[in-house]
Amino acid sequence: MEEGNRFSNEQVEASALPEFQRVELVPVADAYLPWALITQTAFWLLLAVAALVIPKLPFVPLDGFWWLPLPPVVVAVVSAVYARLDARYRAWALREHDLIYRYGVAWRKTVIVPFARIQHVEALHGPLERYLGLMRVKCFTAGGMTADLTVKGLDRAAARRVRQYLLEQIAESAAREDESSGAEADRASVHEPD
Amino acid sequence: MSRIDVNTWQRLAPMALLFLVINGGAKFVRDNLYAFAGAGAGFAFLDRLGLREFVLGGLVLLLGGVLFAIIYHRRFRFRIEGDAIRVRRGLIENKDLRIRFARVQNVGLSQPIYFRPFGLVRFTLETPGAESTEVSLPGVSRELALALRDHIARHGGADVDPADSGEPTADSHEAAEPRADPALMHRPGSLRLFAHGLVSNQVWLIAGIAAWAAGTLWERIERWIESIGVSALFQRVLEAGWIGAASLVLGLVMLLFGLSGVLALIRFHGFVLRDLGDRVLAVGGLLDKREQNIRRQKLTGLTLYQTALGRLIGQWYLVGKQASSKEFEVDPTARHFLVPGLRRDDLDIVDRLMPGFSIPGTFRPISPRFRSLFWARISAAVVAPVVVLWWFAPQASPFLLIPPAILLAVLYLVHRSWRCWGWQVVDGVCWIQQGVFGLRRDAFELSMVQQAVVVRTPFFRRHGLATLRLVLPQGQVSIPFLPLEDANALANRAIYAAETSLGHRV
Repeated sequence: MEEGNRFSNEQVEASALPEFQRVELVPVADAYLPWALITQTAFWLLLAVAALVIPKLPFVPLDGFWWLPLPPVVVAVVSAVYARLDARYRAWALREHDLIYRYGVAWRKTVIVPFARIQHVEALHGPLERYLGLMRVKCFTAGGMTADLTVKGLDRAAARRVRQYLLEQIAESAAREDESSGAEADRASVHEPD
Repeated sequence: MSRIDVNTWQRLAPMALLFLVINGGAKFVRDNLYAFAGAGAGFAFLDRLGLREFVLGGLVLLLGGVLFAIIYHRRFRFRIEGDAIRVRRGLIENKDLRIRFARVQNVGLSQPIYFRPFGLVRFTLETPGAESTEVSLPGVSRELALALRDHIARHGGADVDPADSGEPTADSHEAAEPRADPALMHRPGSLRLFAHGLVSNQVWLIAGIAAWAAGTLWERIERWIESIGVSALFQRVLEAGWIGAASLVLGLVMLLFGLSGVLALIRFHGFVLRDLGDRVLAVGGLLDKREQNIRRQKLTGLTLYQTALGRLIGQWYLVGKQASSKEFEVDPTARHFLVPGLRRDDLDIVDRLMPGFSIPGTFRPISPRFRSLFWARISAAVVAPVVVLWWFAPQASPFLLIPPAILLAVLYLVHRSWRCWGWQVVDGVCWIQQGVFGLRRDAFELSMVQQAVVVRTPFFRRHGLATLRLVLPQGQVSIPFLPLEDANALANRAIYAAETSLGHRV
């Protein structure tokens, strides 16, 4: 909304714009598939085991319910197929000025986040991810929780490099902004330490 | 500046207590409305109580509320610290909040009717990160509030000429001639404000509340009707058959719209929108006179609304958008910067409010596959069961004509929706239009985009289509059923604009 920017109106040939769809994306780490398989099927497999065991207990009157484990097994198999397809499609890439992330099976999404819009970055991993050497990178932008992007399936070294690279790019972009717009003070963080 | 005591802890005026009690009571009712409405349990419970118990319970609640308000009022302190405001408040948990003025996106002044004799106002500050009003100082003197407002504008990088700062006294605004005032952007008359109540969606909200209240309290209403002796009149009207019932419904609808119009008139009474250079100032309200100071720099887009009824009488309203942490808009007009009563000739206000924003003459349509997909799927879902029913129960065939008739109406609505969808980019500003009978037009600079998402379902992949979702500081906007090339090109353009823009970090 700044005057200088608002009225800049130079023509840019649409064909000259960098095209995100031509970027060669990097598939997620191989360890992502076992992680996705475990996290997406574990609950259903446990349920299937419980459904198999419980009718056999002497104090549970559930005769003729041999089929009870089948529904959770079916869901687990579907989840496993879904995880496999998802792992094959899931990929990411860094460009000079943005991060591209592609995911989804039926609803395939390609997300592009400019570094200039990222407010801060977080790298995190759970116990299973730690065991498999995986890490997630979470990018926070303005615009609510749906505007945050979590890049899953990076190996630990790549995730740390990505995080570092993003932080450097954010700092550079903020410095450029400060130089050009007279160092307006209101663009630090939302939280205000007293 | 001389009117502000810097670095001194200040307290609210005693009259603020009244505001705290009223506001706290209203909040209590609002927060618990769903609990009551959900089960109707509250009123069922009331039926088992006598009036005395009810009054006693109410008095206990009131006393509790007053006590809490007194403690809150006694503990409330605020202090101006050069470039920031610090507020200490809380009942059980004490909060110490400090907000730099540079973060402030809105400054609001409102004056409930009971503050007027004492020259007090409620001063509010909003920041982009907060879901609700971040700082509220009820019961500060008008002079202090105005001085604070100007002080904040100075620290927010805005140069404010106090002479041009649009004092929010109704008299000064109403005395000025519209044409002689170059700062005046919009001043709708009472008729247009009343019409805003008719055309805005507020009327449906009132209808919803009325329907709920009537459903829950029907027995009491019946007793009341009998007690005031108009039941015979109602009986006579209903005895008149269809005509009587239709006139009764018509009367109720007219009453509803009239009420909505009057409410809009009260809410926006004397509405004036002024251009103060780096800020715009909106003043209006009868019982609660509100002044909204919006920093232009903090406006991230706008939405023009024209409801179906608004289309009939050619009336629009505009909502200025700002960075918000809310995920979804429950009520698009709630506490936002709203400009009511716009006619077609007034729409140049868009360009005055946000220079560079001009409404496009034409919108690019989305793919006709939007219509064919929904037509095919909805028709299949209706026709298949009807055919099966007709096959097995041919005697029910007269009734089986009803679903296809409804289907035709739904198919027409799908067609209308497809016709209304459109998008256009003019000078780096993206416009997205949608609606069925009414219209909604969202406008934002492409450089404001925080994130671009291209979504492709199996159907989209088969037909070379995509949905483009753009995440903005104020929320998300989507354009469905775009040809893939257009979706990619628009995403590339938005990302390029965001990456080459030097400002706009929200």
